[in-house]
Amino acid sequence: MSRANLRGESRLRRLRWRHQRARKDALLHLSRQPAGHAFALLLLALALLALLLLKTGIDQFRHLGAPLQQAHALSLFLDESIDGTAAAALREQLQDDPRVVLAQAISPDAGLAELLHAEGSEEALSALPGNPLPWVIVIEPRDRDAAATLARDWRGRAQVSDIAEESQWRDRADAVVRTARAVLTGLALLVIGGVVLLVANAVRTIRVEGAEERALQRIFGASEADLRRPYLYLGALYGLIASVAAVVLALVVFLLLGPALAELTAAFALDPAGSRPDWPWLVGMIPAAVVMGTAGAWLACLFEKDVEASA
Amino acid sequence: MIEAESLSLRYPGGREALGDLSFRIDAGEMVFITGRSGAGKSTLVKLIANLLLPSRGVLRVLDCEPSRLARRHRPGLRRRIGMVFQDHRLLPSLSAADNVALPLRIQGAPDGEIERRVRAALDLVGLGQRARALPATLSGGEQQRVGIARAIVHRPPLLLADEPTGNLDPQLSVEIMALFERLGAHGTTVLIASHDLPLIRQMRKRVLVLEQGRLQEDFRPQAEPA
Ligand SMILES: Nc1ncnc2c1ncn2[C@@H]1O[C@H](COP(=O)(O)OP(=O)(O)OP(=O)(O)O)[C@@H](O)[C@H]1O
Ligand SMILES: [Mg+2]
Repeated sequence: MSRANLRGESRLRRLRWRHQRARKDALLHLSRQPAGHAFALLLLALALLALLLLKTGIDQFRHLGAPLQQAHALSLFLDESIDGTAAAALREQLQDDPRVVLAQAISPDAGLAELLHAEGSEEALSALPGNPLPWVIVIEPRDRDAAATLARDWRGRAQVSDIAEESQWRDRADAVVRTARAVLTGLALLVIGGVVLLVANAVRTIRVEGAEERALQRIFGASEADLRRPYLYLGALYGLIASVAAVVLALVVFLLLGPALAELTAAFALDPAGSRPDWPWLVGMIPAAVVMGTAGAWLACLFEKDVEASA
Repeated sequence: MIEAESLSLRYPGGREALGDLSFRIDAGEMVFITGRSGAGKSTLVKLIANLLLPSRGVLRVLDCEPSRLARRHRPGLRRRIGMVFQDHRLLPSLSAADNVALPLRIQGAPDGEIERRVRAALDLVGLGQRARALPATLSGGEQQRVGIARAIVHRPPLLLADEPTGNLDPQLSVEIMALFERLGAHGTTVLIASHDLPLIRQMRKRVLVLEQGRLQEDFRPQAEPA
């Protein structure tokens, strides 16, 4: 074994020792003023909990948006001259079109019954002699493109008097859902930024008292990485503790509000998963918070100069 | 070991603290730097300790040229230097032993080795019994000796001391100087900034005399009488 190899090994061993010591230092910092840390940690936990709730909100809007992405129903109002058999033949022809998921023929009677159920239309319709409605074929196209090409194909044919595309209001609803999701995502990003800054501020406060010690350590050859290390571990520890607390809080929320949430989601046709804890996310929150805490601590360590500036 | 060529230092926004210094100190030498207050003794020590970078000229320390050294290699050079401060700069919350352990901790030495070396260093400065004392419970001279133990605990090839005997009585000063001399005999280069002229005279070592940032004299003692 070469000498260089031996030196490399011992360097690795020393680095491991330094990491060990940095972890010990971080724990020491945490144990020194538990009350002071508890406050910051609780704040962090609440922010992370807010993040979990925002995530649930984003999911709900995605769920709301999903059917709107697919369904762009077309209604073909057939010419008055088309009777039931002709309408049935047309329906079949459409159903065989690969762009169509479902085609339904609605008779004038069925259409009238539906309209009569709609409030306010009764009076207007009862004034009409007989049933003025044509046969209508309602199509559920495969997707948005299919809806567009189908509408183009069938517009202007003799059998079809008019085509109503429902995609327009769906596009609007879609836009609303997308905007809401964007706002929630933006909020989530803000909360993440807040969490990072919260840790940065906590670590910065702790670092104030160690300034003289670090100046001395620099003189005796500590590198900036050496000096940062205990604080990075401290930030990571902050993230770890706060996220575990946030997960526990989230579970308590779901435990207490679970039944009520289930009712709520059912009533509003929301995703029923929103009323149950989302395990991958809860567990994934922990490493994510560790990363955020480390990033915050790193930020807090940025603005300190080497000794020569303060010589 | 240490080589200066036309070395100058100007503090930012200040006047020139050192100008046009040239000298050479060999490995194992023990050298005093003296001069009036404000002559630039501390500044020169900081330059050699790689805590300041020269404004002009060349300085070589332990085969490195600090001003050409990449930032990330600077700590490596500092680890090979021991430093004693006039005001001790002990950390008040740490025991004497923990203060002394600082350079070894920075180097990532294992706990057992730290314990052993710290005890030896404290014994060497006569404070073996006070290892667990906090600095505030030590006298000025004892604190200074803890600072000296910290500077030699990692056996640096270069020892720098800025007024190391400022707080010591003459008897202790002589003992500390004897300790430095012993380190020198083992190959450590020792550089001491001091204005304690009687002590310097007594030591019969090489003396660099600074006057307003210039090297006024490089005094070498005659060969010691047999
Ligand atoms: N950080 C600084 N910024 C600006 N000027 C400085 C700084 N430190 C020292 N000086 C100036 O540089 C000159 C040399 O200072 P230095 O501390 O090296 O003197 P010294 O010989 O160690 O003095 P003393 O015996 O009083 O310790 C002085 O004029 C001092 O005012
Ligand atoms: Mg001085």
